[in-house]
Amino acid sequence: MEPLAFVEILGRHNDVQARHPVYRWPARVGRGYDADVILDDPFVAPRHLGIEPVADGRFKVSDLQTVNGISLPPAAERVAQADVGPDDVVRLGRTQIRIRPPSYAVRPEAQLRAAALYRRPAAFAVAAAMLLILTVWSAWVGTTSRDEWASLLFPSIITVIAVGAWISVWSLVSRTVGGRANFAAHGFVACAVLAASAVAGTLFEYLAFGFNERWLDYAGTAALAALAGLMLYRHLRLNSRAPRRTLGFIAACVVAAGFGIAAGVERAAETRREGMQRYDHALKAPAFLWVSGVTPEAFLAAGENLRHKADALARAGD
Amino acid sequence: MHDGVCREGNLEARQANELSYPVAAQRDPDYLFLEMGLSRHAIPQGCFRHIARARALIAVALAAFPLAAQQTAALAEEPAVSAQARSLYERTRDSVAQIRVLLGASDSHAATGTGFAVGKGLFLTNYHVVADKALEPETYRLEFVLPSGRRGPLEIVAVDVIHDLAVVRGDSGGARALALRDLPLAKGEKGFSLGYPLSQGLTVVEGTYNGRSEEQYYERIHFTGAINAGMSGGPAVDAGGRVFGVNVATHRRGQLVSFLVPSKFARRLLGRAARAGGADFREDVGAQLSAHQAEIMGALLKAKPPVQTLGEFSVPAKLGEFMQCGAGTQRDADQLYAVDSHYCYTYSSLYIDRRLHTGMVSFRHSILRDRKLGALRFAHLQEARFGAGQFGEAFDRKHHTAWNCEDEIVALQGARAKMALCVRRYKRFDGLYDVMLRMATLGDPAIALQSSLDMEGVSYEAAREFAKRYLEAIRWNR
Repeated sequence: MEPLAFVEILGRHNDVQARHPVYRWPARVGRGYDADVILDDPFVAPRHLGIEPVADGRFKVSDLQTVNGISLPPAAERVAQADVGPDDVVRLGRTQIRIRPPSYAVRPEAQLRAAALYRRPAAFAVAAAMLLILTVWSAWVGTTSRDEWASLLFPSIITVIAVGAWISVWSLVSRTVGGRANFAAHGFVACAVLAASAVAGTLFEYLAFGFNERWLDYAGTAALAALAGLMLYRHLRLNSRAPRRTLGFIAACVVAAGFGIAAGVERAAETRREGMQRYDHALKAPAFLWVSGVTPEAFLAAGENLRHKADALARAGD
Repeated sequence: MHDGVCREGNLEARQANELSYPVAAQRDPDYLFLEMGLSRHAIPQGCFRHIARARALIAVALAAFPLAAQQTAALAEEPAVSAQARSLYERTRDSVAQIRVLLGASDSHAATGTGFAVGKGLFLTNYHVVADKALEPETYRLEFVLPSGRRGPLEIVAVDVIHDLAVVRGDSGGARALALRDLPLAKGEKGFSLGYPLSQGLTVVEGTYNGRSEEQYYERIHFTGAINAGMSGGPAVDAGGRVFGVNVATHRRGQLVSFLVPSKFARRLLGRAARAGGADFREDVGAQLSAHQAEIMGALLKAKPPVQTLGEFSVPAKLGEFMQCGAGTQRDADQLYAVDSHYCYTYSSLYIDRRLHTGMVSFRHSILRDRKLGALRFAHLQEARFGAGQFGEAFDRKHHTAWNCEDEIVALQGARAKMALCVRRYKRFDGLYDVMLRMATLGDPAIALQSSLDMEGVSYEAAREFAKRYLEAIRWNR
């Protein structure tokens, strides 16, 4: 006997969880065992929904006088009956269904592709190694005596633990919502972006010093923010099928909020730091300095501003 | 002396602890006093703040704080009192009063010191004993208590911040004025210091006159004797009972190394006190600070700074006998770099109040040499040392505005350098600034000169002029 139609039970993301063939009209959907499609939902009546074909693969659904009734998401209001197509969702109780005829034209077969480079464990391993090397390097740059090898170990261990925890959390989320942990992919995203941040941070530090331009420091901060956003976006993409624009927006919001809070905390701590002499203390090897410098007279003359600022502060303070 | 990267700013403070704690462990009655000093210096003052070091040497606040008395279990054993000391004690006791700084209307002391009668109703004491009252008359009041039990309120007549003296007035009844001696004693001659150490009652301490302190900018008598907290402002008398000095400070790193203000400054202040009356002391203190800075900066600007050669560099050197200079080196075997430091300072810090000591000018040159660091790590070392001042120090909003800083790459003779200039202004004292200049040369991946100049409580014009000469004197001889 040929099925006349299929009733598909849909999950939260409209994924098909079960598919039931229907062999007679009108078909009935409900919790009772005499229904053509039996649902386990306690909010569904024993006889809840009737289905009849209309034409061209469309169906008429009707409420069989139930307590909870039926609706057509995303609309929430109850309808007594409705004409639905193969892509329309009908809600009864807490269950969502879709009705499709056997003649429904499915999409052509998708082509099998090799896993993207970044999803491969090898890519993760390379990115993690790079991150570790950069961590050790930056710790090494700060050492000044022969016996400081232990001080290289400590930041490395901290990095491994912190990044490991970060990747694990994302993998757990992936596993929970999507069924796949994507550990290597999350690992690659985290390690690659963190390594890129370290490189970008150092690069901008050197540029800001070399050209003696403070705005390059801010550009560096902006670059770090962009990289943080990118990382978040990639993690979200691995976990959600929501449109890219939505995910990008979420990542941007989170990063903006994060940097905003950091700036706010900085500002709140401002008065605590009034006693500090705050100037740019970046010093790199002379080979990285590309400006010739002003004369001492010009430097001291510019200091006159400091005096005026101090005077203004003293006036404002009293 | 030592020198080091920024961590060693703390090391300096730590060293101060090490030096002071053994004393506390021996139940020195100066327990809290030392602790107060330490709490000041335990705050990282930046790596190169040798000012902190210099200040650690002299503990100015000899005024005792009441807690100290409570915490002190035993009074230091009195030295065997000579017959001479005994007779002096008998003769002078009625003239020496304890001076108490009381908080508002309460009877609780904020501090105690000593004062002695110098005329009808007039007592002489240290400025630092009455500083709270002088600067915040609404919050504090003063009281004297004579050994006879007579007590009464005091008001300030005149202060001398530079020599740390004050004249106060109160109804002292028949307290006999002590005579001042103008001629100095002979070195080695006996002297007797009187006061109320830690509220233990009037005490006489026998000691030795040792001439003028060679370290301090303003004239102070070096007196070898057990002067303790609470004795501030007490008289030091000769065998004839005439006052030759006023107790003022002890050396924190020494034993019995104490200092007195010569009585000639007391006489000078008394002369002024005759004309003075009810002045606004904030203004007065401000004017004296201005005079102080004019003197110090005048001495610094008298001539072009002499130059000394340190390795590859020419740098400003000691400007005169009024400056103290020293050197240090750091060449541990495990360390992959070496540092030689030279520093100079005017030992002229003035006590203004518990949170403010000012009036010093100091500079320091450190030459960093790479042994096996390589250019990258050497640059990082430079950076760490150059940023050390950013730790900040004890900051009192009451006294200072926030620091304003500026940094720039500057072309010096023979090398480029990164420089920072920071300025802050005194809120209570007009026209005075703290000015700090820092520089680090960027000419060679393996050798660098870092130099810092600190000027406290100075006029901006003088500071700028001296900074200019200072920079002109720096040269890389290649």
